[in-house]
Amino acid sequence: MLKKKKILVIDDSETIRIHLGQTLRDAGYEVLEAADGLMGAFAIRERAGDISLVICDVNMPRLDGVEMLEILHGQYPKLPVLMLTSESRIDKVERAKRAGAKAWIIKPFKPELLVQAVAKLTA
Amino acid sequence: MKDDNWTFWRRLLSTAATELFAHYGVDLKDESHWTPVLGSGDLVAASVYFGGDQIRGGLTVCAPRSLLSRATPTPTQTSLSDFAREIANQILGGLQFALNDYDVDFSYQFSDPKPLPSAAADLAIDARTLVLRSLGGEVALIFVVASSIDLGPQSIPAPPRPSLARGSLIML
Repeated sequence: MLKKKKILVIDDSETIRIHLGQTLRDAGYEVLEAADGLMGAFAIRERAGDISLVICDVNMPRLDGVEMLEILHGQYPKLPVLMLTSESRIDKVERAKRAGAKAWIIKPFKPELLVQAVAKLTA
Repeated sequence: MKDDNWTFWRRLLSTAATELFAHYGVDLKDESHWTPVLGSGDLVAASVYFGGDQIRGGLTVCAPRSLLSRATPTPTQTSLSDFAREIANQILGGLQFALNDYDVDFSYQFSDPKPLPSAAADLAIDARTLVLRSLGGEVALIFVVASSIDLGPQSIPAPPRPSLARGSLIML
């Protein structure tokens, strides 16, 4: 049986985590969750070899998504990261890009657009 | 909430506030009435805060549980207060995007709001409530903002800076 690709979802909103989880499971992926950047960084360090993609919010308590990427920058160059956020400032997008993010989607998102981006990034 | 409860809350709040202000040398008189924002019912509310050099404030979204249940993408599995907070976050994202045209910038704030920078100490503070109606109920947006900028009809947008529209996907 083909092993499902694992996607780590990092978002402080439970609503978004559940919505993403449903959308991604329906599309055939396995989903792991973390509730902020700090928990996300721990999850990546523990399971990086096992994860095909990280979907990460930007504005979160404790450690935001871009700061998390900057901390992990260079350690996991093959792990693609998609930022999913309400944040629209280009300076944040550029910081995330320098820290290794591969795509950026502004909330609210259309599930089909997200699945399309996920397929592209995990191909 | 029952009227009796509101009477109780009013007495508590009024007493606490008048006693506190009296301690600081200001005498307050409790002569006005409660101002209901939405009709009575099972309401859900959540607040988000933001801050920048020229603007800071907070936004509270308050709506009937039934209306938010209809809107949430995960109707059976999630807390509606979390969804209300996410709605407030995304509204703030829309404001951030629109204000980009006026060269006004802010960040989301999660912990204690940062003190105002000294240059912005005289920011004028205002607070308003906007009630938006739908067939299934009303949504109240309680907006408190301190700002040194004029965003009236005479204000001139700054030269456009690049920013991203809602729902857009950018491959980096």
